[in-house]
Amino acid sequence: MRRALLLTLALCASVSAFAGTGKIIIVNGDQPGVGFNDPTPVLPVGGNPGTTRGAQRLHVFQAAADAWSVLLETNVDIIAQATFPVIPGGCTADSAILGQAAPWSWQRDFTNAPKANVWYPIALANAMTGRDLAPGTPDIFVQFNSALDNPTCLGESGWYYGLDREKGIHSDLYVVVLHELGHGLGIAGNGTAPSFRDGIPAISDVHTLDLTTGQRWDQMSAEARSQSIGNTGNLVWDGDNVRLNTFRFLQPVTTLTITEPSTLARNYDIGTAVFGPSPSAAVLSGEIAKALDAANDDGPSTTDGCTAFTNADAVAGKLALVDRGECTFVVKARNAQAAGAIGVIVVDNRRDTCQPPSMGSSSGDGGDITIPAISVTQDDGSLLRSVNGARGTIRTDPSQLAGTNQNYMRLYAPCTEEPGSSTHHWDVNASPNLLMEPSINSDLLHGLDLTLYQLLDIGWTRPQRSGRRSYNR
Amino acid sequence: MSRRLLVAFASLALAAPLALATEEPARLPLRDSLVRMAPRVDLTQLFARLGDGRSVETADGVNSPMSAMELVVARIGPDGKVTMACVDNAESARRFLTAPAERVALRKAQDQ
Repeated sequence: MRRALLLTLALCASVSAFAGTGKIIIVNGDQPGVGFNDPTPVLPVGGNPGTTRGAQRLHVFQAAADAWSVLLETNVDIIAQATFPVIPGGCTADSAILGQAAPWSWQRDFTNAPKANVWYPIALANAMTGRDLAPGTPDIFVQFNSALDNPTCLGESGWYYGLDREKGIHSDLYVVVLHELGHGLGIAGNGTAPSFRDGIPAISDVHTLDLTTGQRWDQMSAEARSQSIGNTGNLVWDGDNVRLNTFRFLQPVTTLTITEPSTLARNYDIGTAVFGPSPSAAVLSGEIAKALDAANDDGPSTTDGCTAFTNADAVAGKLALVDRGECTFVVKARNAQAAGAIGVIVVDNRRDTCQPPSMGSSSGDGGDITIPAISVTQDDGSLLRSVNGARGTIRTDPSQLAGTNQNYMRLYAPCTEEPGSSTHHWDVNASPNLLMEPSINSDLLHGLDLTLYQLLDIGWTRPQRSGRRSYNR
Repeated sequence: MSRRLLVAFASLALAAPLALATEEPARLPLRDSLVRMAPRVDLTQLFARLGDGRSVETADGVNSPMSAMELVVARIGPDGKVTMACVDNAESARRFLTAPAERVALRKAQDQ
């Protein structure tokens, strides 16, 4: 009890030092000797000056909090209740729970609330009213798993505590904390999507738009939202700040543009190959021809492209359409090339995904491939197979950015049960990768990219006191 | 000041149940650990804390405790690299952790 009281006083003192600055304050909720208080001696790493493991963890958390603090206006301290324990049962040799975060609570119908009957994350509600609406409670919950630093957890991969992105095989804690604080600041729902707490939408739901129906989630029934959550490519973020700034962070999409027949005319998502010329480097137009080959031991279907095409004359000079499966992507491309095709389109053979596969060659085979190879989903492939004489162009489309639809940012809305999903992320087609994609990719820079603009859309403002800071990816 | 005092107490309250689990296991050679580790991570405790609280009228509006969390889970893929996914419910986390290895790498290339 005495120890607890001393710890309490210490916590109060540390928080008071920042009172009224409107910053994100990391409150260390760990017990002595563990988590942020782990006394294990370590050497400073990658710009992190901590000399104990606990100090390095806390330094990374505060650095991530500071990155957000300078960009968001509030005169109410944002209290992030943080712990870094060994999460019970949270790790095996090849899988782990890394961390978790959420707004500590949600508030609605408060003074100055921009919209009635809408949940706002408590930190944002406080900022909007200029008062602490939930005194005595934190604003953000965040917890990370220190088990990763044990070699029995997730193989040889642990946390990287440097701030210089030199993480090697490890997980960059700074990036994951940036991502999770984004959720804690409001890129989240009050209820597991697509459900609403008490039947009332969160502010992020008000910005979630289904382009197919033209309705936002707050305008839909629960049943309609259940359909919408799997409307890949058509569930988007409706907010001016994001829409007007996508060009700053995304590159034009490489796509298959179908021009004929008009009923199919649009851009189609594609997967690319590690072998052959990049489809983004060339504009390649032609008729789409359904390739046929023998049904044999190499491939039991006449459309799998696993052996020499039997209709080479019909494929020559065109974009060959083959099905995925039974043999490698390289073999299909090689057979298409031998038949005189100018490119090959591989139709995915899986119904349980809505992302075209990326085509690899782990053996290094494929150095002889000189035509571009792309993939499309099974649904899109079925459309292409349903007509004769379709014409398409494989190209980089300067009018569309990767990860957008009609200039809206696409949200992650897997059409079926993708392993791992949450709507409060960008679609994985965004390129370059963004901080708030669900897979927190290893090539992320240490920037906040579109996440800041998403927060501005839900009602955060930027500081006036020091002028607008510019920032980069 | 009262806010900070209460925050500190909240911190202690939250940390207390975890105290029993914060001792790190003994460091083992990796090969041994692969044999000894449980095959699955335990998600039940993480999501069990959600959804119990009710919304309450406050002096200025209505407050609701958190009812969902964003959870980052990770796996080692067939290429030996870590793949992450951020999910908001236990079922999604389980799907990620138990799916065939090639399915979890949403953007990693496959041979066929």
